[in-house]
Amino acid sequence: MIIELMISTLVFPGVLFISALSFFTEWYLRKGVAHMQSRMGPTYVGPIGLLQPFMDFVKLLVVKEETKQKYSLTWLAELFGVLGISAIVSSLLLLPLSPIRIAADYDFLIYIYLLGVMVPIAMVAMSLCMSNPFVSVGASRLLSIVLIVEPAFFTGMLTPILIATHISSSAPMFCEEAYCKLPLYSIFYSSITIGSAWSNPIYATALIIGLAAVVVSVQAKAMLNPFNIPEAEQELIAGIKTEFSGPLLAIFNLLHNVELSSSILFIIYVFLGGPYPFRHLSIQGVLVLMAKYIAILTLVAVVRALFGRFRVEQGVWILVKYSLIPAIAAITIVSLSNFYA
Amino acid sequence: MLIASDPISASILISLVMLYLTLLLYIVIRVLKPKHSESSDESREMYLGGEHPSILSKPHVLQSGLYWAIVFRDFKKAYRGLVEKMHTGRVIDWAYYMTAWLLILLLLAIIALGISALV
Repeated sequence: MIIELMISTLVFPGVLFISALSFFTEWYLRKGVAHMQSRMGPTYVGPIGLLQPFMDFVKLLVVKEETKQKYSLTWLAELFGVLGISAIVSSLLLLPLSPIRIAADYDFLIYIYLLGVMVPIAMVAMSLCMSNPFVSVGASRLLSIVLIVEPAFFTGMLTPILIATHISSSAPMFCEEAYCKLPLYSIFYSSITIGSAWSNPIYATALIIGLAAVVVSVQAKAMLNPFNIPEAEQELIAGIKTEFSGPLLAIFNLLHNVELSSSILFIIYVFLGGPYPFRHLSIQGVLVLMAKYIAILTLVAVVRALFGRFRVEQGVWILVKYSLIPAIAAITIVSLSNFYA
Repeated sequence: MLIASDPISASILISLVMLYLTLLLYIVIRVLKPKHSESSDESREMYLGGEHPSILSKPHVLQSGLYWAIVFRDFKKAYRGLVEKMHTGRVIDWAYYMTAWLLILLLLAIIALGISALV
């Protein structure tokens, strides 16, 4: 079992899979946004530039020199970056996608700890290992965004978890025999149950509101336009990335892209039931999963192309208005519906 | 294959996986990264957009101050909204405001009573 677990965490859905997915995600975003803005985007490396993000990563990691500033702690920054990536990869064990999986009562809280606490802390700590005023300002902006975006993301994500738990406790016929014994408030359980909840109009309303809130917060978590406030290219040089170069920049970029990819993957599973209405490992299931991933990614790309950067207080307020409040509304609808059911 | 089904063993297992991956990836990166690094005097200096490092000795805002400024600015907006609606200097505004709040509270109390009666 240990060997299988090690292989799973390294290959599928581990480091290799999520890295490949994150390279694809970066390529799709860059190419999509470039297309919308009448630019070429990645073109030359691989077919239609598909391998450009991978080659950028390899170049930064293996070829480019690391500029060592005299006040920096590069080894510690690398360690924090790797810790963030490891936290994300470990969280993938909670998904039905993983052949070796973890499904426990309240494992949603483990997910919150890994993605909502470990990753932002890793990112902020990584950047603060490099002493620089631009970095400090970028980190303070990141903390301001995190203060709103993480509660909004996880309140939104709690909506389908609550629905799935209520469905299983009130109507066992919704779930298949083998799954009825599985734990509650669990990512895995929610992923396999939530598909049927979309036929209930009240749950569907709450899920749509929650999904919208979560997509807005993903945009901010990934620091994409209009929430690229902590990086603030030009305005703060590169914000939290100002002093990163070579392998350290490669690790930061990978952490950033892996966070985006895994967030979208979790949204697809927890809100949209993964390959629902088809089964895992069926051709239709894989195609539906890919279509859902591309759909969410396209939405993210469109928002990125449409907006310019917000100011800090604008960004925080927009997140409260379009992410935190809708997420609370979604969870209130579900709670009231469950209470009166 | 399900390898953990209770919260404690799940937390321990995930922490161990995270630790193992952190160590492994850190070693891989250390092995792969170029052995030589840039060591010119210019590259060892902090990047300040062309400014001299002495600029940092001038009075500046603390990083934590920037964080709290952003947070408090938004709280202040909500606070000012309340203050401006309540304290216009006209008693009738204050009376309207308080009556509206009391009505909302009364409505909530009736709803709560209704729910408790149903349950």
